[in-house]
Parts: sequence; structure tokens; C-alpha cells
Amino acid sequence: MSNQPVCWPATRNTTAWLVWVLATAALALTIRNPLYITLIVLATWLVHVQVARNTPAAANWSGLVRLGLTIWLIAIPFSALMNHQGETVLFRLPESWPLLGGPITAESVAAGAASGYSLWALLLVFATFNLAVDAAVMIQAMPAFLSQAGVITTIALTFIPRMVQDTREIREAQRIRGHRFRSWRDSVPLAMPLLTTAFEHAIQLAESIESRGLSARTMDLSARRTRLVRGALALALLALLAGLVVRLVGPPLLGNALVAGAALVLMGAFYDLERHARRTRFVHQVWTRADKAIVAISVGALAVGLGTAWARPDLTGYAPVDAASLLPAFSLVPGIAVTLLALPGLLGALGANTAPTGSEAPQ
Amino acid sequence: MKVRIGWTHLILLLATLVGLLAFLYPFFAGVVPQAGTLPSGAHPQSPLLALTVILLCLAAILATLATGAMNARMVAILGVLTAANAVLRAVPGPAGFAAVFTLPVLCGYAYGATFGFLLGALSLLASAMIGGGIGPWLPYQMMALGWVGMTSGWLPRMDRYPRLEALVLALWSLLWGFGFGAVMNIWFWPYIMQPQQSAMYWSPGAGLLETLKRYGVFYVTTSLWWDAARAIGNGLLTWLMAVPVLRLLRRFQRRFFFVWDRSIEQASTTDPSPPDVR
Repeated sequence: MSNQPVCWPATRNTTAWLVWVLATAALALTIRNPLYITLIVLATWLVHVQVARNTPAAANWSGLVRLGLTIWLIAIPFSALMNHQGETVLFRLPESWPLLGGPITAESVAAGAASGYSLWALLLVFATFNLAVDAAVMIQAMPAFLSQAGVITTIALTFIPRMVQDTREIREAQRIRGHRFRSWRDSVPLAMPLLTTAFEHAIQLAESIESRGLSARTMDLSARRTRLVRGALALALLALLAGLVVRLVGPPLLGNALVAGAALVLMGAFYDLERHARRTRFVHQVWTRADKAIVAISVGALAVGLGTAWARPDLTGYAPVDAASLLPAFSLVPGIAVTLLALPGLLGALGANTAPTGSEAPQ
Repeated sequence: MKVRIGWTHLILLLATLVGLLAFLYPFFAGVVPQAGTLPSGAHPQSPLLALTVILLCLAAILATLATGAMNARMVAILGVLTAANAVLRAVPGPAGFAAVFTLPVLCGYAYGATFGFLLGALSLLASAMIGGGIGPWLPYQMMALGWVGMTSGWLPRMDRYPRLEALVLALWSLLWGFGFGAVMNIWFWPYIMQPQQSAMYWSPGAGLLETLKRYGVFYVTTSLWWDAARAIGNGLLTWLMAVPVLRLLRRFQRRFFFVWDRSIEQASTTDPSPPDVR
């Protein structure tokens, strides 16, 4: 596997992808300024094009992008009709019309376009991520303490094609018997055999799991330690609840301390479970220089973006109230920072696919 | 369902309370809403705090399962039902209707709150993985659909009156069809504001009644028609499927959830009667 030329981006480190998507999505959520959003869209689009080139499923994901585009186009008239803020009046609707009545302004159209644009950018970011990392790799990347959820999801993903096949066979068998599917009422004769078959499959699966001695227990925990971990989880959730309430009605410092303490206990419990998890890995992900660069650039861009949003909200926000404020502000440093999010796409375009074994190395 | 009631249920209940507070937190925290359609701008910590808290709650629930709360049979049946629900969600219906509530409601009612929560939450995870629906909305969706299954497990038993049972569950699905949409709007509604449209957007300082009134206007204007298709579709499907599916779930219940009692096995060395299955 490692001797063959590998196909970009299937070999890119999943954690690097996760960091990239979290940073890009957080910026798309935080920034409203359409100029910066355009840079995020262009950066993501470059990555998307590189990813889609090597993924047969690209056509499916482009549907999500088109859906985002439709939502964007809907957001503009919605904002224009519902939000009457601004000085540049394009036309007026009768004041007597509930909610819709009033002036339709260029500022409200621009605000709607900017809002829909951010949403579309967010969808594009996640469409690219969904395309780049397949379900099996995502499940592998799940922490070991969530392995039960991972196993259930794996079973579900494995059974879906089988259920589709079962549906086809049951429908064929019903047709041979003379049953005709004319309305939604006819779905019962299809659904019941399908569910029964699914349950029989589940029993066979459970029996094969047990007969191989695998059981469903994935932790090497003594009874005492199990009780301790569960107690810690319950206590942490209770502290989290108390912390959130105290933050609202009591001294914020105490509330923050409780929330932080609860988060620490939860992380400690997760870490303990992670340590005791029995997990066999046949492949391990390797960190290449490119992966490390993607992580560093993503974290840096996020820090610059959030820092700018905190220090200069006028730069990252966009709320036009008159003709002068229709043109968004711009500064070079955050612009460069968000543009650097195109790095995974640039690496792909430059042929980083053959770089020092980005592949998963058998252990 | 007879599965480790103590800790699992306690953690599920606590996580639900924390999750509910995280959904409603912006109303109490007095977040200044921003112009736009998504959480943004000067208070990025509030939506991030809510999202982090929801993620921690989901992680705590799923981590509890890894401590031995589930056996192989439960893992298998959850996996298969999750697949069935993900397939049902992918089948397109009129006006955006997707039959995503029927199985969590029926399975939650038949097999209990924990099972219902897990089926709801994990079927959305699986569905998002096959449909490319992973995004910041996913943890909220998982939590909300988990609540659909969980609360169905709290409904009173009506085994003796199958028609009444089907009717109540259908109404329950119908209510959750609207409730799910209403809950899902809350993850972004407190953070958005359209100036001069205060009739449908929340602002800090608005009282409970005023907030409900504004949210009602927002919901009717933006979500009601989509939710109506989903609610009516799921209600009808649950009404149609409830009796045969519940019969099937109960038939398989004994095969899936029996627990081998060693004390009875030991007793059987002196008493030759067969071991009890419960």
C-alpha cells in the first residue's frame, strides 16, 4: 500500500483535516464582512476543486453546495422584505401589509446577501470536508472512549446498502404475489418484512460477535473503576449544570470556576477511559510536514481572525445602515490570514500527493 | 428495557438538563443579538459555549455506554435500527417530509428512554455521515432527536389498548414534528436580530411572554409550513405503523434484552428447572 503512488487527498491526516475544518468554519461563523467571506470562499473553493478531482462522490456533494446557493438566493428577498433598515429606498410596500409593509432598501438587500453568503460559505466548508474525509476514516478517528458509538455507526453504515438491497427484494417478492404499491398505505407490507429481516440480521450479528468472544465490552475496567468513572461523569455534569446556573444568577467567578472544574473532570474521565480502551489499529496515520503546516496555518488564521473580531469588530462585522456603510471595510493582515486557509488546495495543486508518505502506514 | 438503569439513566438525565440549559442559555445570559442570520460578531463565545456544552453532554452519554452499559445484542440492534432510520430519512417525501421520527418514537416507547435517545442521536450521526450533513448544527440535531426518543420512553404504557396506543403515539409524533423544528430554531434565533423587525426577533430584556410572542411570530413566518409537512407525515406514518411495529418490537424484546442470571444457574444445580429469562 505504501509503495504505490497515493491519491490526494485520501492520504491526508484526518486530524489535520479536522483542525482545518474547525478553523475555517469558526471564521465563517464569526466573520460577516463579505470581503473576508469571499476570501474564505475562494480558499475553500480551491481546496474543494482539488478534493473533488480525486473523489468519485463529488457529484453528490455539489448538491449540498447548490442547496446553499438556493438558501442564499432566498435569504436576499427575505431580508429585503422583513428588514426595512437603511436610507437608500428602492421602493415601498403598503404600510398596512403585516411584517412586509414599509420601505425596501439597498441596505437590507445587502445585509441579506451578506448573511446568505456567510451561510453558503459555511456549507461549502463542510461540503469540502465531507468530500475529503470518508465515513470510515472519520469513525477511525473517533476517540477510543467513544468506540461503542463508533461500532454502532459502523454497523449502521455497513447495513444501509444491505437494507436497500433487502427493500428491492421484498418489493419484487410482493409484486410477484400480486401486491401493488399504489399509496403510502401500501408501505406496511413492505416495512414489516424489512424490519423483521433487519432484526434477524441483528441477532445473527450479535451471535457472531459473542461466539468470537469479542462481546461489546471495549474497556479493561474493574467494577470499582467503572463505578468511579461513572460517578465522575455524573458529578461533572452536575457541576456543569450548577456552574451554568451560578454564572447567570450568582458570582460569575464561581460559575466560571465550576464550569472549568466540570470540564476538567469530564476530560479526566474521558482520558481515563481512553487509556483503558482495548483497540486494535491496523493502520496508523502519519504526520507529514504538509499536515503539520496545515494545522499551524489553520490555528494561526483562526487566532488572527478571532483576534480581529475581538479587537476590531467593525472590520469583521457588516451591518449597513446608510449608503456610506454599504462598502465593507478591509485590512490586509486578516485578509492574508484567511487566504492562507487555501493551503490544502495549494499543496494538492503543487503535487504534494507524492510527498513523504502521507499514507497510512501498516503497523 | 432492563439495561443498567442506575448510572446510565442518571447521566442521561443530567446531560439532558445541561443540554436544555445550553439551548436556552442565551435568553438568560442577555446576549446582544447581531444583525445577520447566524451567531456571529461581538459575542462569539456564547454560541461556542453552548456548542461546547452540547458536545460535552453527548460525549458523556456515549462514553457511559463504553463502560459496559451495552451488550453485543444491544449494539447490534441499535446499529441495525440506526441504519433503518438513516434510510428512512434519506427517502424524499413531499414538502421536505422525512420519516425520521417514527422509529425513535416507537422504539423509545417500546424499549425505553435510553434506547430511544441513542437511536435518535446515532441515526442522525449515521445519516449525516452518508449524506454529507456534518456541520455545527449536527450536535444540536442529535440532541433534539435523542430527546424525541427519550421522552417517548416516558409515555405511560397502553399495551392493552392497541388502537389508543397507536393514536397517542401518532399524536406524539405530530407534536414532536413541530417541537423538533421549534427546538432547532433556538440554536440560532437568540443571536440574530433584524433592526425594526423587533416583532419577531428576541432582544435582551424582553420578558417571557414577550419572548414567546416574538418567537411565535418568527416560527409561523419561517418554519411552520416546513414543520407541518414533517409533523403530519410522521404522525400519519406512526399511526399506520404503530400496531404492527410495536408487536414486532415486543416479539423481539425477549430475544434482545434477556439477562443471564448466574444465581439462578447455580440454583439449578440443585433444582433442575430451566433458567429464568427476563
